[in-house]
Amino acid sequence: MITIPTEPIGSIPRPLDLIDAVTKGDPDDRALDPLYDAAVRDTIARFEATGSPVITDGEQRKYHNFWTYSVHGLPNTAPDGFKIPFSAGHTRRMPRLTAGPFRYRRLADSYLDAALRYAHVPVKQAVISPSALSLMYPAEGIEGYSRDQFINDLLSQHETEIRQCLAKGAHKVQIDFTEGRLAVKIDPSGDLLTSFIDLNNLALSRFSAEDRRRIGVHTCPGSDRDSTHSGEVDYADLLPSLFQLKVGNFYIALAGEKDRKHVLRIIRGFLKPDRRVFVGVVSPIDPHIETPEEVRDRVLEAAEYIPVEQLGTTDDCGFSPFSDDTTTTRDTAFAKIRARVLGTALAAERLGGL
Amino acid sequence: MAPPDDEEALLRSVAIQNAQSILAARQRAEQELVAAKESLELRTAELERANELIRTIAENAASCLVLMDEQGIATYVNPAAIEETGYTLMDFARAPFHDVLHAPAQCNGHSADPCPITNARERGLPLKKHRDFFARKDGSTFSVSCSLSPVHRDGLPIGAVLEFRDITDEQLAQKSLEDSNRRKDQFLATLSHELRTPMTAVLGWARMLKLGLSESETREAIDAIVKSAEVQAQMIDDVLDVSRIVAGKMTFHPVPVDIAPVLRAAMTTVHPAAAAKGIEILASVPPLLPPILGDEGRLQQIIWNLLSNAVKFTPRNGVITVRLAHVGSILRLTVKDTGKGIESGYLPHVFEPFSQEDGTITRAHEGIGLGLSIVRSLVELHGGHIRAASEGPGLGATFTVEVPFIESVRAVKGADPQTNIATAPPAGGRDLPNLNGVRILVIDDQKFTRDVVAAVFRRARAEVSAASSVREGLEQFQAMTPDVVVCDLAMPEEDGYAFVRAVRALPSASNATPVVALTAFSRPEDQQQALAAGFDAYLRKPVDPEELASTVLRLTPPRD
Repeated sequence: MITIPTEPIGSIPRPLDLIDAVTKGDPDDRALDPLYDAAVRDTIARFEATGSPVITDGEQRKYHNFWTYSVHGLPNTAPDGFKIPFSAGHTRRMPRLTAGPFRYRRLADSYLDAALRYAHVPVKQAVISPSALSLMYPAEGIEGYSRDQFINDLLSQHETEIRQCLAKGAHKVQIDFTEGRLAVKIDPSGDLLTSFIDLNNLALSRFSAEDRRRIGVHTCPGSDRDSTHSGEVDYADLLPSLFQLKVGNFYIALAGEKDRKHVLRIIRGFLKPDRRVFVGVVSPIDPHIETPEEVRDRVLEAAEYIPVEQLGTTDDCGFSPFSDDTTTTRDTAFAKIRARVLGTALAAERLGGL
Repeated sequence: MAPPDDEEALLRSVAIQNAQSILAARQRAEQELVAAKESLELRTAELERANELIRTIAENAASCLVLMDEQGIATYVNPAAIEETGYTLMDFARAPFHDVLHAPAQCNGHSADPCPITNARERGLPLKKHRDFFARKDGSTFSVSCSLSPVHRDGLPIGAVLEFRDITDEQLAQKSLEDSNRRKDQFLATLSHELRTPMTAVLGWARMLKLGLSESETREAIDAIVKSAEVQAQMIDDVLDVSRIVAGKMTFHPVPVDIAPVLRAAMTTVHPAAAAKGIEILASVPPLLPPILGDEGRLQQIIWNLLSNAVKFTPRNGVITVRLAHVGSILRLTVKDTGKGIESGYLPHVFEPFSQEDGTITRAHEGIGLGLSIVRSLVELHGGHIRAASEGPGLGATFTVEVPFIESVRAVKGADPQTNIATAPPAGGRDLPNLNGVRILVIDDQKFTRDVVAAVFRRARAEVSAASSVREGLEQFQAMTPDVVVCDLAMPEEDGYAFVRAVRALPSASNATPVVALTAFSRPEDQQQALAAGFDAYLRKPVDPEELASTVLRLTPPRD
């Protein structure tokens, strides 16, 4: 009998009443706690109803997004940081650090605390990569707080966040590395990507091999309002570097790729032993809800390139990485997840019978 | 819509600057890694040294050590365990320790409960000095004392260290010690009884004398008191002899001794007892036996003990045969009786101290079980050996002593064996030496001793004065100027040594007055100490009246 592990990426669209309440006020207002709590509870219940063996809290409390949740509201930031352009024509903007020292305002393990209260199956937790947050330090520098100090503080904060998630029993800790593919787009020379990989590996070096088996990296071309920020970048320019990261798991968006076989060939060429690749088999930005059979076929296709013992399935991306994104409904998200779960099981059954 | 070019350029600029900081951080991390590696190497070297030390200790340990994993499979077995059990490392590696060592032995002894060793291992609990049985590869079992120390990692048991050792010899030694203690206890009970028995006769007859008896009854009473006291004295001598043997202080003064007169003297001594039971003693002594090198007194003690034993255990009208034989360079003495014999199971223990075949309260024969033990020690002091034989209960017993002869009696100059075999005639039946007119001062804090000693001297027609202390004795010494003083040694306040020092220090001629020490301190060194302190003679209590009177007579200055 073959089992192919399947895990979500993270976010689930927030309930509209929650979005509405947050938009009107402060997301950290304690008065919103009942709404957050209800959203987490409902998300976990529906997640478990899909049969997904591993779930998340749907990032119901990650405000405003997967990228800036840890620094949102820091007093030593300004809102005029870098802009992330999406193909739909809009941009998302990062905060800019204005003074040291750099500290997270909140760590993702606090979300895990809430999720574990309601979950009956393993819960994974996504955290933002150090490379993404490294872009907060301004080009002109900060007087009295050097870039070296910043990098050092950033690594410590990231390490602490992961350790606390692991200690609290996260099934996996997934580092969101969406800026990897964006880095290739911005700097085709690869220097920017290399510095990102180096920075993330510096953080990952602080963990034992056993810890790293529970740590993974997610890469995708972005997913916001049914558009990407770097969909046109060829994985061939990213994956060889990505697989240099010192983690045990890679979560790679694949369902939305135009030439999946091309990507799978690259994966086959660069995947190291003792690593597992979770390939995306449903696309959050595609309004079409995949059927289990479609998912099954995508898994079987992947299994032609990746040894089954190193293969897993996932969603291409979170269904709502930015909290105010309402282009995908919760129903659609869970239907896609259900298809992923069922389709993966069908594939495993088929592979087991070979 | 693509981002503006300047936005992208700025982002690249930040990334490049970041890259420099990342490089610096990586260099720091690498330096830290190098330092950590060096530290790890040092620590590894320390651990290797510690491991080597532990391995050396384990390899050379006298105790058996087995290190096992969480399933109880041995992962290390030290050489002592392999040697003790006969199992190889492969034998240990094939199955859990319990199936190899314990189950084939007596683990079923715990059938009602879980095996304590396995229980402790599985629960990760220590087990200390647990006694059990293990099995060797050859199928034999042995008693062990074992301890189990669990090994934990992160609070969970991951194995254990089992230490065990064979305690079979220890248990035998313990049992032997317990047997020895039991025999000593039995001996003390017997000794108490045997000392009290003659005391009963002494006190009983003494009280009757106080009430007044007829002439014949008085003679009977006196005989009983004398014999009872002699029995007690013999017992005390035996106990002291054993004490000397145990302490290695048995005195032994070897000279060439003609054994025949010694035998005759011993036979004379036991003759009354034998005659009283109608026992006939037949002796066979070849002529012209060479002398042996020995202590005449101790040789007589050997023969007397064997004869007394034979008389004691031979029923009325039985026969005791004593035989001396010249066997090569060996003198063989055989004492054979027609008595109750010895059980074969008791024969190996017959010469052990405190040993009696019948130790019960209802036993038929008196004694404290030391005689044969003393005999064996004395025979061994003479370079010989003794053995006992018996055909069984009711078939008599034979004791055989063999000691070497002196190869050439002529080589021992000045030795005249005949001079060494004289024995003192029995005191009974003779009157005391005549001490008529001799002034004797008796000093003793014990009234009854003082009185009996004074009575002896009065019977010898001496003039007697008595004092109960040194101070009183000195006053009387000055007043009466005695011819001889008989003085106890151990007394309250001042002892006999103080008296003799005081007398010898007197300015007058009376400082040479003979003083006899009369004491219950009976060790040879006590005698030496007394004579060195200025006493002219030394007599042990209880003293024979004739010996007492004779000694005083010998010391009495000639009269004008």
